[in-house]
Amino acid sequence: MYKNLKAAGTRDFRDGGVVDNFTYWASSQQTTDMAAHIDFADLGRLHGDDKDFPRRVRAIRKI
Amino acid sequence: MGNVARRDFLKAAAAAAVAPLVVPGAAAKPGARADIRIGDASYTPVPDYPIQPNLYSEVTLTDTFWKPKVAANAEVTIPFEVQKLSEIERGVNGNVLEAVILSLKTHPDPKLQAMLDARVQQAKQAEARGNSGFEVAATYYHTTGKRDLLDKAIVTADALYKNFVETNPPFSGGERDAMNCVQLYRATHDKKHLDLAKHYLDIRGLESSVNRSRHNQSYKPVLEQTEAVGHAVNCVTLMVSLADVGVLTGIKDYFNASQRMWQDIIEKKLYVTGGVGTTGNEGFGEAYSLPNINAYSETCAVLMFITLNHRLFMATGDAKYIDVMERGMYNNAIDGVSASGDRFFYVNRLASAGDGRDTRWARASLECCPPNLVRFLASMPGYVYAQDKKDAIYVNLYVSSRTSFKVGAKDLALSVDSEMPWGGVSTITVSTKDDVSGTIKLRIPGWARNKPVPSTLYSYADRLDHQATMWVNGKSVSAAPDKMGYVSLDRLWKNGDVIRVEFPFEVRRVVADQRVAETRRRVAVERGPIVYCLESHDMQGGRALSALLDARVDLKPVVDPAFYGGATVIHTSATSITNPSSAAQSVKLIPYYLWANRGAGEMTVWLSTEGYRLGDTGPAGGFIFYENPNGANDGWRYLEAAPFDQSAGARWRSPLCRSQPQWRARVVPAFARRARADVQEPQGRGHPGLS
Repeated sequence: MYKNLKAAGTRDFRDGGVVDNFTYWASSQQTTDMAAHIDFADLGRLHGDDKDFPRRVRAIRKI
Repeated sequence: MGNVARRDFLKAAAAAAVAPLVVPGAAAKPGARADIRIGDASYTPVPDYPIQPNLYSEVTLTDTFWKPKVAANAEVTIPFEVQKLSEIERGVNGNVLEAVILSLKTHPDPKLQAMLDARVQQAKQAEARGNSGFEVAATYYHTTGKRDLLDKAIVTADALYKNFVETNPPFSGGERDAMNCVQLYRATHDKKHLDLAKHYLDIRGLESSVNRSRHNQSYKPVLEQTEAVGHAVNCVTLMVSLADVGVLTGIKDYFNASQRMWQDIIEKKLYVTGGVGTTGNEGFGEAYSLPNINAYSETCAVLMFITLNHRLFMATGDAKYIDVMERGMYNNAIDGVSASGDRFFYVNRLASAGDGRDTRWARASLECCPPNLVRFLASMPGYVYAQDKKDAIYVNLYVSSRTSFKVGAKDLALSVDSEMPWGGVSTITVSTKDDVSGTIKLRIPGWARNKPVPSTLYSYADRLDHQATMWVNGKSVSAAPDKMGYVSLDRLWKNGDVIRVEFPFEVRRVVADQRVAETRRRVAVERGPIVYCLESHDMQGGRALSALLDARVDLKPVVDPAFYGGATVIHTSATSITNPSSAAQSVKLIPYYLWANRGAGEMTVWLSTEGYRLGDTGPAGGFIFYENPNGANDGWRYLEAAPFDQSAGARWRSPLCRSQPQWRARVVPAFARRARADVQEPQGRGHPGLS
């Protein structure tokens, strides 16, 4: 999603005035306590964070 | 300051009109409010617009499309809204009261008449609250000839005028206030009332004004504004007020400002259904941003836009405004009420996820849209014909009806027998006691001239070579319209003369400007003035949002006399976006205004013809970011990411998703595997979840 849309300059991946809205939970965990999140403001790099940290989710659907 | 909630803003405006405040120091700034004094401008007012519509009560509908709707409005919807308002403290007022006044003239109802008479007596005794009663007062006077409410409005207007003269209070509002005063002026022709309207506009958006915001179009003086921004209903109301004041004062700057803003809408912000307003805060969005599943397109907004287009026509005689008005009338406006007449849409989306969110409201709040709608339907016949100062007659809408005109000192009646909106043939029969020399101007609709809208925002994907044809008493005459969009028949009219008009009436595919991201690689389907949609009930499986329409597939109009009083539907076939090579299935397109009468289900006006490309807006309003090369085997072809703003549109995590797997937000296992290659993912144990 980052490579295809954000890095390509597609709109709607922006700072809309919401704190910390550039990072989204990924689908992988790093350790038992840590999950991965992708920082769209950091070139899409993967970071880790506590699982109970309230990060955002970018839901997807298949069609 | 930030956005002001619409109704808070209106409350503030009304309060300021009654009990003005004084802001110390405001008058010291150059160009500030104190420099603008009511009544200072020199102008010679004119009584009204140069072109006048034939009054709604002087047009007798005989058709099978509008007549039943106007009758249902009188017999079902107005009584329904009156009953609802009678149950609450404020009682029947405003637009519903105005609708009652208008409707009683053509649809007498003793019970409603008694209610109206009682309300008028109450209103006479009630304390005046600013200018909000002016419009009803003017309508009551115009319709009944009674001055009960008008005289009281005049006293109130005098007090407001005096207050502006003496204290020149700051004021936040303007457009509704200006419109109310214009309506009073059109009844009284007292220049003071026009001065009031003009002043409400002049003190808006100044540096010293209060409650300034882009949302209420007071971010700059109204004559400097060029875009349609902020709250859609308020903005279009402002445009109506600007047109009114411009025409009636003769000061063109006001009218020009209205036209500039209209042009902005027509080029960049108009829905194919004729609606306006795209955002969840009831406002205009960015240029070329016309979302479908999270459209707003409020019923109130299109009704005011209809009024605006009619006024711009009355000022100019240009049919392009009627083209836009007609599009709104036949699609967005009447979508606002159910076929049963007692369920309402405030928001008229152009696509639905079928999750139950787009269900017409049974318990309408009656704040704006339903009252506006009953007023519009009660007065609808007034949009059909018009006449200019030289007595030229305009036939604007082709609706079976009868009416009469004064041409010079003579009477001339027209009887229109039209197939519209389901067919393109209309005959117009002239009745006159004496031969009458005069002009009848027949509008050639844009859709009959390969021009769906008067801009490049929408165009037809195909092009018709044949054009409108016209005969008078069986003899062919030129049907080429003039630059204003009319064919003018100037002759000596005799009793029994017959004009026959035939418009091309093929099913057309419409495409939008490529800058509209939400409609790329999609078409809308139209026939005449009617826009069609695909609803889940009319296809196997109900996946309307996933339908793929072959660009060359036959679109066959079929008359369905049993479909909500009779309608032409369109039979065609479609495959699936998910698997384009699958067998095509039969589907039926229905008129957009009739959707959501059969329960919840997916719906779309814009039909995909090529599938999606990365970055496209998906059918649920999100972003297409992945195409599966093994889509045919996996049973899915695209991944769509939820939009940043999920406050409108499909519910990406609705409980209803559980019963509709295609709407379930989750990681698709096959994608999850591929996604690992797309990011620099550290070693770790993957787990299913949301990305």
